[in-house]
Amino acid sequence: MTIEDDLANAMAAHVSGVEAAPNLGSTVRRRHRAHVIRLRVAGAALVTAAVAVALPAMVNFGEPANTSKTATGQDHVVIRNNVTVPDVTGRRITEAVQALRDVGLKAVLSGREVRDGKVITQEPAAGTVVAWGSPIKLAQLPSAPRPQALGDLGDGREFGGIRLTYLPAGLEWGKWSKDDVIGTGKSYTTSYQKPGVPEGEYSVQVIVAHGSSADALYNFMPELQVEIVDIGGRPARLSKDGDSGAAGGPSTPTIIWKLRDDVAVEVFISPGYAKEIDGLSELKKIAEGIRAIM
Amino acid sequence: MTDDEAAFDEFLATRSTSLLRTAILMCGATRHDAEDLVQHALERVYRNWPRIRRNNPEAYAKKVIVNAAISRARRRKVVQEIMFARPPETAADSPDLDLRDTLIGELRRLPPRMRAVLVLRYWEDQSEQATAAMLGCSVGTVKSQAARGLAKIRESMDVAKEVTR
Repeated sequence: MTIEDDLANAMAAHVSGVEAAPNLGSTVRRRHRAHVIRLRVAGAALVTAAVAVALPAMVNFGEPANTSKTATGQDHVVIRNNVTVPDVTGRRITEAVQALRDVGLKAVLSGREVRDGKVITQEPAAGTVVAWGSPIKLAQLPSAPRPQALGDLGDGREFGGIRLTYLPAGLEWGKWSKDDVIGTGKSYTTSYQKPGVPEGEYSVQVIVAHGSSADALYNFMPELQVEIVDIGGRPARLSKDGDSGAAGGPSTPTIIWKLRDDVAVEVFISPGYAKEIDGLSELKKIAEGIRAIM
Repeated sequence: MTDDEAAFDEFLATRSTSLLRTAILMCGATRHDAEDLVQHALERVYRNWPRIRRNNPEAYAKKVIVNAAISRARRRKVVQEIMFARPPETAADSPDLDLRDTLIGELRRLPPRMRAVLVLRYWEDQSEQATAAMLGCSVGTVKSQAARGLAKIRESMDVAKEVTR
């Protein structure tokens, strides 16, 4: 047998027992939603979800664990102890719910539903003494899906070590930002939109990646129909569809280049907005207007 | 369920195992990584499904997997532990087993692009032209990468034989 046959047999044997998971479809759809939230910041409906926390003592109402019985002379009266609210901010929702349950309080989630996000605020505040069994409102906003990694950026044109000196007329900052988008180095993203569009829509999004992340961003090449253009003396990949993988068809106009050896920038225009403007020439103008400010 | 959704489910039912197998060989890492890779690729397929469903979605998914596996392996540059155990139905005393394990081990040690060439050529049985198209390189590069990959594996196997003799 040749080494090719040996290798083919070895590969076949190696994966012969592998089967895709039966729930792959729902996993992929869930990831799709997560992706939409992460990169496009889709306008997820605000939900207020009350977590059905089965309080042990409420189920076992007659004999709750932390009660004291006081003799009144005629009858037994059940008195529940008051509880000091613990500080659960900064903890994961599941931990916070458990911690509240442990002291006999009920967690109520408000804000956007995020799977096991972090608690941003709680009400009443830690240290408050409340009646046993009281509801504590926990808010996850704004951990996601509208992340605010960089805080208030003002007009949003300066972030992640770059400044945008040009944007198509009429766009405003999308009022969100995210870091750690790609690779192991530092990376940031934010977007710009037409005023009044539904929350979560973007018109132009920019990703900046530094150091090792710069290579990760720059070397990931799903674009089709790439045209190399010059941006400040460096080659940039300009594509009608930077989101396409192997498929064709215009969708998300994208430009990516290295602003410096250690800084890569990617700018893309949403498919909807691209129909209203000349996507490729606007991309070039935006790219040419981006300056490093480090 | 819409027609698109139903068609996507059918695509998953028929093609996902094959995609996962390719990904496992391709990424040379843990099964967990391979599954993540496949989910990543299928999410992109799903995103663009109305556009690509009649235009060979499997090739699209495979291309995403190949590209992501290569860039991910380059990004990490860490030899991952071999976590994927041998298939349970393989008899433990099979005489071929050592050879197979060694071959797979050598395959993992190759640079990601070279490994991708070997997987596409000898596992998927793709032509040199198809492999080149999927990797976005020339046919000549596929030929030379395949030859060098096989030579490296053969060399390591010979060394292993010398040592155990």
